[in-house]
Amino acid sequence: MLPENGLNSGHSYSTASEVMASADVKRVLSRIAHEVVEHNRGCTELVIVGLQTGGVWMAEELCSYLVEIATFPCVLGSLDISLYRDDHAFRPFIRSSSTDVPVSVQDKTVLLVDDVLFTGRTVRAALEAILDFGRPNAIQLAVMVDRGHRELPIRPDYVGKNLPTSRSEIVEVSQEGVRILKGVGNGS
Amino acid sequence: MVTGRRKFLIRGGLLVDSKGVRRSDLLVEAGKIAACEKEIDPPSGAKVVDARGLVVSPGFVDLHTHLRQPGNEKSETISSGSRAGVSGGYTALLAMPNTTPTLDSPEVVSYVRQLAKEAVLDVYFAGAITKGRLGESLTEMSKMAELGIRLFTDDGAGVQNGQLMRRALEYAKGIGVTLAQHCEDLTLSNGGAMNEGAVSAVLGMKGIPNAAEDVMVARDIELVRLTGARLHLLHISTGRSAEMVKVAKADGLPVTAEVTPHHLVLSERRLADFNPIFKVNPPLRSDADRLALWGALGQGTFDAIATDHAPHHKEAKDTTLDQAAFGMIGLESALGAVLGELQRQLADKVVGEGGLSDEQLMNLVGLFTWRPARIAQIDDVHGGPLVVGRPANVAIFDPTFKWRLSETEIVSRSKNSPYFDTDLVGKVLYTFVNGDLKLREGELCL
Amino acid sequence: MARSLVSISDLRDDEISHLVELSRIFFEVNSREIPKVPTLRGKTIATLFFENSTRTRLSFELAATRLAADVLTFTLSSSSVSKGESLRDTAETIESLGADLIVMRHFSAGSVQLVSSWLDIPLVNAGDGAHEHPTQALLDAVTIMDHFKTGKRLDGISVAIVGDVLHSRVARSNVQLLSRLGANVTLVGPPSLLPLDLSLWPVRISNCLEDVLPGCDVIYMLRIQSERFSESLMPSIGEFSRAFALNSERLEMASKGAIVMHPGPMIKGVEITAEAAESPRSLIRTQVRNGVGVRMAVLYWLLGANQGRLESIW
Repeated sequence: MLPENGLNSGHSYSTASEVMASADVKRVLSRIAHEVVEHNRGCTELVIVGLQTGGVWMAEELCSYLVEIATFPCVLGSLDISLYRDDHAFRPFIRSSSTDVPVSVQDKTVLLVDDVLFTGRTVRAALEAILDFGRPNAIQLAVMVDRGHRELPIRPDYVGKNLPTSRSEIVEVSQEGVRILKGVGNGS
Repeated sequence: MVTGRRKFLIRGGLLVDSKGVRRSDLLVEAGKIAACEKEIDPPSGAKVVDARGLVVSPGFVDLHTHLRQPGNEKSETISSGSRAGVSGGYTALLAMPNTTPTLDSPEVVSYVRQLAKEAVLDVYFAGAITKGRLGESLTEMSKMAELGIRLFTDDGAGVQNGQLMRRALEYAKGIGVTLAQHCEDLTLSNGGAMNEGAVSAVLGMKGIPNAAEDVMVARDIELVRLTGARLHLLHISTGRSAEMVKVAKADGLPVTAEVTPHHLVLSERRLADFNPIFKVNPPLRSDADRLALWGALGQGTFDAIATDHAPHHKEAKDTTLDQAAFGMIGLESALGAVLGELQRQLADKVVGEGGLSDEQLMNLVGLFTWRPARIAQIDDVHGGPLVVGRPANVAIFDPTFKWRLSETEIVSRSKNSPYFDTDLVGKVLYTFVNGDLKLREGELCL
Repeated sequence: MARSLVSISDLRDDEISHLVELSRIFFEVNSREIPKVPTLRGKTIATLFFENSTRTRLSFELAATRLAADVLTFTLSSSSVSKGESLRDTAETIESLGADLIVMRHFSAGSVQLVSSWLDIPLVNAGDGAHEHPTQALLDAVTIMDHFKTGKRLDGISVAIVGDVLHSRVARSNVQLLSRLGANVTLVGPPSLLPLDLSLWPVRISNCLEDVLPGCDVIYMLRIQSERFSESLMPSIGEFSRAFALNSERLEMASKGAIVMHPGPMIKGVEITAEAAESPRSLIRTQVRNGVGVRMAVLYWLLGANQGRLESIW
């Protein structure tokens, strides 16, 4: 499931082009980790929360960089925002329980992590969801790719790559790299 | 009512009555059977009915009809019920006394007799055994017998008190009438809504055990042994009751018994989704009981197939199973339901061409005609035989016609039939009531 | 006619498994500091109870509230609604008011199915006569699974259901569900409180609780109502308790790991003693707690993304 990419099955994509290679992804994650440390001087505890499903591996990797370089403690969690979506009537449900916020977020800094930032609706739902776990001091957002087309006033704090796309394209992010799949369907 | 206005020649049919099975033409004139010969030339003015491939039988006689009038005309009237009867091949109905008021006095008898003039066939009435059918004190049976009532029953309920039933039997014997019993021990049925068995257990429905019927059948057979009075047992639904009837008959007791089409065709399984259409009293039993009833039918244990036609308006059935009314209509579907089920059973046994033997046909027609007519003591007018001089009460049916009953075609004022999704085989196409054609090619012509 | 939950037999195996997963998601939600999600915001859930049952109604209403749905409460005495017409009127009125789902309890078996045939919105059966109580069975199944850590199955778990099986909708739903999930179910009670013909039930039957106790993992006690004694189904409360009540001595006869369950409300001293109900082996309070999450799962399944389907809507 690619939650930020709209219609994703029943369509075929003629071409795929690689935008980032595996090494680029690693480099970017390391860079973001340093930015996070830089940005959060004096932070008491950082709760890194990957959004299901694409943000989870990224949060894990980011956390492992941060543990080595940060002066503050880092805690890893994950968040399934299905129950908070404003469009859940049009989305299939994620089947397995995948929310795991192991500590209270009260008065802490939360870093939301997702692979692709698109319309901003997932992040909006994530903001609502995380607030049900307490009132953090601050919430920040890290994404690997910002592909534009925002529908809500949401801006990431840390971006791996700004990637102008058309709405009909699909952006695929993994440890192996970032690819754009060109839509040949009705791409609305 | 002017009878026998026209002449009819029924040609080429297979005549089936108590005299046997034969191919013969039949001339109906002035309300009577005027001729019955191998071939009759059409007399002038005679309307010819082509009965080739059809069975010509005496008009059917239903021992067990609820006409709901007076008191519940929303569900049925004597007129509407009689039309439904004609559609099903009936020329005589015995109306049950559980009306409002109860048919329990000479005054009510006279009143309903007046109402019965609206009927398009011959309606006879059964009187109540106890006043108000309350099971407490006997009705004035001899006064009602004087007005022509030949059969008494508290149908809808059985007479619970054994002593009172004994007295009723003795009294009835003295005046030459027959009692009929709805066999149900109310302390055992105890408010149940369906058969107590595998299905009620799953549904969590309160059930009516077989024993509720069997106990009263046993008691009443012993009371017949004690008193020597005639007793007709209504709507037998269990294999055990049928067995007891068989033994009583072998003992020479004056006991007769009827079975309904629905107890022969349907079982408790039909209630598995709580459909109140299948709620009836006695309840649809297990398939083992149902097959035992067929076995008893084959051995001649039953004297009649009676419909227990029980019309209910929509609201009485459009509710939960425990609160819905008991009963289903049956006049229009009786032959089709029984023959349909018989055909299904025969098909399994690979009987020649799937047809009925002459003996089977005669047995079947007897259960619809002359045998119930004798129990109701109306065999001077109804139930045949089809011989010269007899009143022309005749039904003509196609024994192989396959059809489905649809709600819109039902003649009865109530539509609570359980057969909308059942293949029916055998359809009555013509009904003559005292020489008048009332049903032509399956359509009422009144 | 929308997808409803009337009977356990309405559910396919994969749907049961999905509801178990969903239930666990909502258990997690219920453990949060703010145990509420906006999933069913804007939906209206009506509870229509023709029988008094504060517990089940509250459990459903809390479930609806935690999904951010609006709740309409209808409680009717059985005397004011004894005729079929008014049942229909009431149900149609609630639908017209704009309810998206009705949670219904009624004293007549089959009533919920009947009402669902009249309406276009989903119904959830919260108990229809002695017929079924499917959400109780679902919460019981999940409670047992989570206790014995058997995943989404109950293979090899032996469950004794004890007491008034004849009048129990809880027993009917549980027998179906637990046995489908692989459990071995034994019904225990006097013959007068067991259905006459159990040929369609995948169960073993016993008239002696003490025989069954050593071999079972779950001792599931049913409530016994006092009117059963006036109906002569048992001579007296004392006579029933003597043979079938769960007390400390009997609990000792059960295997070490056996647990005690009861659908509530309990009549302590009749079918279960206070010591047995409050023993560390009792999961009765867990059942109540899990009830909310399981009901959230059912409401979400019928009203949320897939509206009672499993297939992706694409």
